[in-house]
Amino acid sequence: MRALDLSHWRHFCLAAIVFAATSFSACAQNVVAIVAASTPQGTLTRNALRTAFSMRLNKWPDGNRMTVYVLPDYDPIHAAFCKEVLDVYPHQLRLVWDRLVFSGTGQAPREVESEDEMIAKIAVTPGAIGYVKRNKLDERVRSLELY
Amino acid sequence: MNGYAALNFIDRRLQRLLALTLVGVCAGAGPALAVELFDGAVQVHGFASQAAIRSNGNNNFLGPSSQQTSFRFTELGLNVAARLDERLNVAAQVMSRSAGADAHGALRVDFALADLTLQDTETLRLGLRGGRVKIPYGFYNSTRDIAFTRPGVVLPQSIYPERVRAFSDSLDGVAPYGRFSAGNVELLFEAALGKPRLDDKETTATFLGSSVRGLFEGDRAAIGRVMLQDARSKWRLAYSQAHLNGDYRRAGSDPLAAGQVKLELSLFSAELNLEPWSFTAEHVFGYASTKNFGISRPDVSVPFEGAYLQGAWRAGTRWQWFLRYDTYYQDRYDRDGSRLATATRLPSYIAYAHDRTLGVRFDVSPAFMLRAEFHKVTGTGWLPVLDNSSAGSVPQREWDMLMLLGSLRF
Repeated sequence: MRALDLSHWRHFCLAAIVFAATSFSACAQNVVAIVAASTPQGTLTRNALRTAFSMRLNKWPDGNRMTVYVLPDYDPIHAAFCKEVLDVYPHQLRLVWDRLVFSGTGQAPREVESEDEMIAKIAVTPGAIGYVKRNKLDERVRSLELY
Repeated sequence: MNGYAALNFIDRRLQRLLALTLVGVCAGAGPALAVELFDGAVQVHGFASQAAIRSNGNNNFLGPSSQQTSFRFTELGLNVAARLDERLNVAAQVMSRSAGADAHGALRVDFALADLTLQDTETLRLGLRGGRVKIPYGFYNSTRDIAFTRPGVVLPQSIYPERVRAFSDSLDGVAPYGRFSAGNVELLFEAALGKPRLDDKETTATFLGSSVRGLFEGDRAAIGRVMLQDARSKWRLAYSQAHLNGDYRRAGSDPLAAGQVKLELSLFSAELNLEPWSFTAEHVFGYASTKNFGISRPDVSVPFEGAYLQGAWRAGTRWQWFLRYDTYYQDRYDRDGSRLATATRLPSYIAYAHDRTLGVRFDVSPAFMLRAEFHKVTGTGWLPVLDNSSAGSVPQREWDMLMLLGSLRF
């Protein structure tokens, strides 16, 4: 009797594990707040991060000015960051910014078109803060530790 | 062409120029909701809204809307905000607003201020603004002309009436502000002290009648608002208090003496956001007073009251529906207007207004929005005076209004 050839099954199982692993990481919380790799600012509380993205806190604890970067309102990464990290809805954040901008009491965050542009801007702007998907992190930026 | 007509003509040209600039910048700005200069240190934003209004019952709201579709509700604005250094910001906005019989779109400075942040940490922020500042009143007043920030084509007229809008515009003075944060809860306060801008024909006519020639002039005002809110926008509560004073500037052979006008009010505001539902309520009461206008016009102090309750439902990211019940009493001790009717022989229904509104908003894109709403109104308590001053067409008690609006912003 010929031995059962299991080599196809091995490949299939491997592929299934890889697929499961990648899809798991895609639905876990995987958008992170980022700062430039060279920046001295390393941590913020989650509340301070939310206040910063609401543009009601414009300074780092060390006194340096904060510059906030965001993706467009309808971008799914923006929506994920708002809901998973900040616990606010994108449309409410936009309303918060509109109320500041059109009453002269604040500015809106700076808008970029893509994660690549986000990283490029944050790497060279002092005091900059933004967000990307975790798998986009590279040597120019690092994720901001929240406590 | 006399001086006033010449001014009107220039205003129209400036208004058209502003409109063209806004459309041009919107087209050029692409999808981004701002134009940035000097590497982001300077931001330029703008908005443009146009409404179409149709009503019945001889009741005109913002133009001759009961005879034809009125397009006399246009709002255009352009603003610039700059970060000068760590602590100092400056911001200014120019606006052109046409709304009904009076406003002809004159270009004016809506705000122009310097903003000094004295303290800015996670738990505490304190600062001071000076110049021309917006009046911080209720949830919506400081951005009342920007359709994207309003819960409808027009704001609830019991709390934010068009016909005395000069009282809630902006003032020249100082505005201290602060934020205290504790966990998810923020306490915000904002005050404004200075000289209000009351030189508006509709506002003057509301207090003194449509036949007067003179205009109010702002004297002094003090407005304050404290707001307790959830940092995640799940709820907010606010209390606002305002005291505004003005003097009457007589014109020519004016039968009225140079009297004074005064508005004092207290406003409670509450909002609850339970996605996709949102509930908002505001309740105002106060006194509108005039005095020293001579024997033909005895001193009066009228206790007004207004409130609305609104429920909104967000269907996906682009559609939003709302229902609102808005009610207003010119005199809270004469709610059905019977005393007014007996004393003046005017219809009793000018003393109140109950407005049921159904509205929808559709966001075509983040920069372009369309709205439609239907109002079913009993009473004419907040109908603009100048839109309805022609003899022979008396506004009716029961009336309806359909409003459409398109709004662009960047």
